[in-house]
Amino acid sequence: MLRAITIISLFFHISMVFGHGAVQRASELKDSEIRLFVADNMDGSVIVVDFPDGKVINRVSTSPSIMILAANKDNNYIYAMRGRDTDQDLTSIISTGFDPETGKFRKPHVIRTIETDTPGGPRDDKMATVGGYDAILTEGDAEIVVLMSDVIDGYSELKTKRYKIAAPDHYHYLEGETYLYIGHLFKGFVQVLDRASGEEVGRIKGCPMLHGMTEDEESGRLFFSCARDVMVVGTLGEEKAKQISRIPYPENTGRGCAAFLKGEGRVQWCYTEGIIPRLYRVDLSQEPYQFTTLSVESSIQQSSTHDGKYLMVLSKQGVLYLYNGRDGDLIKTIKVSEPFLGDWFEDVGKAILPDIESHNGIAYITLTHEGRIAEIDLEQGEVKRYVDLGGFPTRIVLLAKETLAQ
Amino acid sequence: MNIKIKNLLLGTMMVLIGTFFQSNVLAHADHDKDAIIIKMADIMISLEHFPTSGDQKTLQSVMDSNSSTEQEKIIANAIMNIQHQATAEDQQKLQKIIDGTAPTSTVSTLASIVQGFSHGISKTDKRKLLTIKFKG
Repeated sequence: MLRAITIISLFFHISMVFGHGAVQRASELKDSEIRLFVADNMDGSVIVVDFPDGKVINRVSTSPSIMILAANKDNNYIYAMRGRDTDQDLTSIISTGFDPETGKFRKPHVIRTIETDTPGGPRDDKMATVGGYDAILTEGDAEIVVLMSDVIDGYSELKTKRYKIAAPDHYHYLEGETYLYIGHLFKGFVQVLDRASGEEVGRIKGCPMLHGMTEDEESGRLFFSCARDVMVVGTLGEEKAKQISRIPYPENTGRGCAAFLKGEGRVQWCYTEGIIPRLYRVDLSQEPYQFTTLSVESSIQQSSTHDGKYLMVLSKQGVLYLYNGRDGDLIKTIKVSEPFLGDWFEDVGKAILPDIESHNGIAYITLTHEGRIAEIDLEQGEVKRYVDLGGFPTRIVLLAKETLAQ
Repeated sequence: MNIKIKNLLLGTMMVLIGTFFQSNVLAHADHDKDAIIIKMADIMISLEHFPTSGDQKTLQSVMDSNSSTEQEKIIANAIMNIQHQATAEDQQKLQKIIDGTAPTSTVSTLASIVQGFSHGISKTDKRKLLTIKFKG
């Protein structure tokens, strides 16, 4: 009897001691073609969704009220910048989860979070750069903060280089060959800085209420949208840092441009923010530059495919209008959601509007009001499926595996 | 004297022109959000059978406020009177709001939800109310 009790007690003792025994480690690597990062402003998390599976991989918790979501130049990191409905301006740097050795994906996570005074700078979902490094333009204290580290991790010191900007403002920025061009909204000028020295080269004035910009890669020219017209600035050769011309908006239509979309060839489309009745078109291969108007159904969001083939306009009624990206001819309409009820005015507090991204003929639209994403086959003109996310999905960053560093 | 009047006129014109462009350009500025509609949407999200005393206090403040529109006061009153559902009289008043506003407007949406309320809020209506609250 005593022997039996001893054996049983010994058995229990051993099982308690070795409770933390070895386990089989399982890899989290998964294959995928497209990875979407979606800002959910219900709670400020970034939802990661992989395609073609259409599966939600995980939710990365960041600060609430995301205003900007952008990838860096090499698609190694995702930056989530919070809006101004809070008193602490934070920027979270998130891993993409891509493993270059295997060509597969892990679950993304926040690498580090830094405090920045009213962060900005990204354009077309891409971070601003200075000399190839990621840069954040801090609109509160008027600086360009360049993150000089090739690899950003949780341990290493984050080395920075800082450029002083003319004044606190809302900026529209682009890096030229050797100069940095910083458009100021309220000051109404473009400040030009020498990248090497940080010294101011000059100011190109006469652009009141500067909001929105684009570039023409062929000519190297920059186009800054002003209150009454668009100011064209050169960046190459003798044109460098000089005003080249102005493009007036068509008569009786008011301000036309606050953001630009690249169409087919050297065509650019521009539009104002909010719910809009029209877009402007300009062909940058034809001088003198001239705007024409494309009337659209009351539109809540616009985008174009990367090859410029399609111009996509999402109406407040929840219909996606597909136009030819060169001439603006209507190709087809696709019903994607219920109407967006009420007013949808986005301020600087947080992102609330739906977003559109596309790759290889497939578009992804965040339906903020329905808490889901629509995956749309543009060639077939139909919704392939909906992926329920819950919350209020807004901004999207799309990473295609084929574009990631091998 | 003439110069002063001229300067005054010029100054006034500049202010007016400036104001016009501000409204066109500052798309990122803080807009006047539907604070009262949001307040009522918030009550409807968690409404079960009838409004709580806290809800009634909020609704009374909407009805008493000079900044509330007539439509908002009618909706507030209708919510206040809910006993498992809106009264027949309030349903008629809400119908007038629905008929008189754009079907995609926030006021129309809220009026429809209050009109069709039955004991609790449906999943679809809850999503609509949460969206009103979210986008402001």
